[in-house]
Amino acid sequence: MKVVLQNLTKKFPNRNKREKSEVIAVNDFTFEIPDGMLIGLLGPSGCGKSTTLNLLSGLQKPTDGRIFFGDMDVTDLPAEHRGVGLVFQNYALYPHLTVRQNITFPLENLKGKEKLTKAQMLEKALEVAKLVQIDELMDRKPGELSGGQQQRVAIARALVKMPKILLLDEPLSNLDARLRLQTREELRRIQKETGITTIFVTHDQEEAMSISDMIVVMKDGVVQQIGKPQEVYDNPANLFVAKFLGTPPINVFEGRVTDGKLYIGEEMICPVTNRAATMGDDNAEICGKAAIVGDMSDKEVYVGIRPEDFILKEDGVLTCDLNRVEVMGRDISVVCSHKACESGTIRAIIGSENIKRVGDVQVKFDVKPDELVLFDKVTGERV
Amino acid sequence: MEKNNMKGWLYLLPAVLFLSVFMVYPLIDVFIYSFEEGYNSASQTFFGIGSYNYSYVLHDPYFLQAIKNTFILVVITVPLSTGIALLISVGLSSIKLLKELFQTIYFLPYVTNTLAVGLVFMILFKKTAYTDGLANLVLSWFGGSAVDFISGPYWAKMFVLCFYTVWVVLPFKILILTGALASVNTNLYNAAKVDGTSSFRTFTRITLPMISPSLFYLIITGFIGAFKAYSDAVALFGTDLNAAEMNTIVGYIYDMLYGDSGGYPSYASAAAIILFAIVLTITCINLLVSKKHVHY
Repeated sequence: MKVVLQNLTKKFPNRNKREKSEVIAVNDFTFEIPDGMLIGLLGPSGCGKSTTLNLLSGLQKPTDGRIFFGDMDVTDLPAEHRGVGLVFQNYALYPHLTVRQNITFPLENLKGKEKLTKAQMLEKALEVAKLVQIDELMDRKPGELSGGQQQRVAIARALVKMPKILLLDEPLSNLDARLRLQTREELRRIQKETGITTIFVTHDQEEAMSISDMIVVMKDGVVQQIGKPQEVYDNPANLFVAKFLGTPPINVFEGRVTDGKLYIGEEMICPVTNRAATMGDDNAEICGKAAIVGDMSDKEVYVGIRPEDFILKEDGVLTCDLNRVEVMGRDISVVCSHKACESGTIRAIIGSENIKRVGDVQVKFDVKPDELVLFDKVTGERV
Repeated sequence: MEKNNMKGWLYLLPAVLFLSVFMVYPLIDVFIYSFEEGYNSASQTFFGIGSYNYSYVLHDPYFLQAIKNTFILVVITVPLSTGIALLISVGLSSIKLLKELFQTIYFLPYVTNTLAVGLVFMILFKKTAYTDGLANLVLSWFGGSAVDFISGPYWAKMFVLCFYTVWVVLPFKILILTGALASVNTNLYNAAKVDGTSSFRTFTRITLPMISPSLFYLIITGFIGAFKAYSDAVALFGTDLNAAEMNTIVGYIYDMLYGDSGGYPSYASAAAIILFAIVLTITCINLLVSKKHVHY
């Protein structure tokens, strides 16, 4: 079932009662989540992603705007009638009930025609337990389970009534690194097998990128960008998105566009070309040789370069002072500095076969011009 | 290991010392007294050893009356006060407006002196030559005839005693239960809500099990407290409880020790041991029942 948010807004009164201003947790969200997709709501803490989830589940009422599940307006429908499955960050399993009782709990609430017999409930519970691979643990209490197992029980409990929409609030944040990797694959598999539209909240960009069909990047209650993970990574809409996605983070330089050429400090990096010019067929001449912008006019810009987009080259266009080299096995990470770099240090990731070619004092890099992303220095928006 | 044990005992020493001098020794002493026939506390002599003290106490109509009163008091007030406290606590936790005010009001009886409250109750319920009292006034609105609750028929006096006991123990129970209710993770309620659980089912399947340890604590201490009731009866009916047919087991023990019929420590000890046996039995039954219904 698709989910549509229309001008969704949630305001909270200020904690400090003397201040009149309200805190806007969710500001004018409008987007559509297609049926059967796995969506990651991504953003730093306090950006309103959990609030969005609570609005979808019905636990909180929006100040403004509408929510649709399919064609039905559910904005005024209370949580218990929305038919969503919700997995809480701390799982919220009923500690006094066994795993089996936890999973059958939602089924026992069904009334009228949907009412199930005891045997049907147990059968359904076992079915969903098998799906999340906890059918061996049915008689244990939540306190006797590991974090990962508890998380599966929580998912099973949310899935057992076959919700139209599954919501997960930071589902992996309580797990250790290894379990997190494993569980996110599981999550993806379960979602694929059930085909339920799933929305999950995370602050971990890697987690969101790796399993989502689509990610929604948020900041301060405002949607920054929506798209497929790779598209958002390659084409960030603004400086915030560029900085938020990717580990190690993107390197940001202060630069400027003058006479159709891009400069970082005094060094000319590459020519720039209009985006429209790259659309045609006969663009072989500029393809891969120029940075792409929408607006050719001269201005101060921020230049974003992904760590993997540096090419070690003796006559490279960008000269940096070497700080150190970190060996990571398959790759090496060259940490260096440049006076035009915003954060001071630059991190470039290059293949480990190049380790001998890294100089002692200075390193020179070429960059892949069409991978460069340029942002307006004032607004932070993509140019 | 051996050394650590020594250290542990050292830490326990103060408590063990005090408990054994003021709790264990008297307990054993009472047990011994209860079998010493014709004990005289002045001369510290007795005639022989046997179960006569128990036989006397168990055949004493005043003691049987006290047992009957105590059991009625326990059976009525413990469930009633716990139930009412639960209702009030749930009510208190679900309101926002004036919550603190109501909490304070419900807690006030706890800081009030038992005897002062007893006096107030007496004024409310007593029928004198000049006035029928407030309770009778209310009763007359509903067409009832005036009853003397303080020195009238047995059921009326028992009603006042139960009413008073419930009223006195309520604040502490409300305090404990509102605390327990507040400590239930709200996410559990949210989870239940999203799963479409009715509020009644949420209460019986989530709230009650989650607060069951506190509830159980209140029931056990409630039972013990009600079995040991004495001052409440004195506050309402004066010190001559045998004459008022309102004596309790502890009251009987007191009377045997110091009352008008006082000076019988052996009978008092026997009665105390009987009370101890009753409380022990009831508490054991409570513990057994709790294994099934209390979730820690």
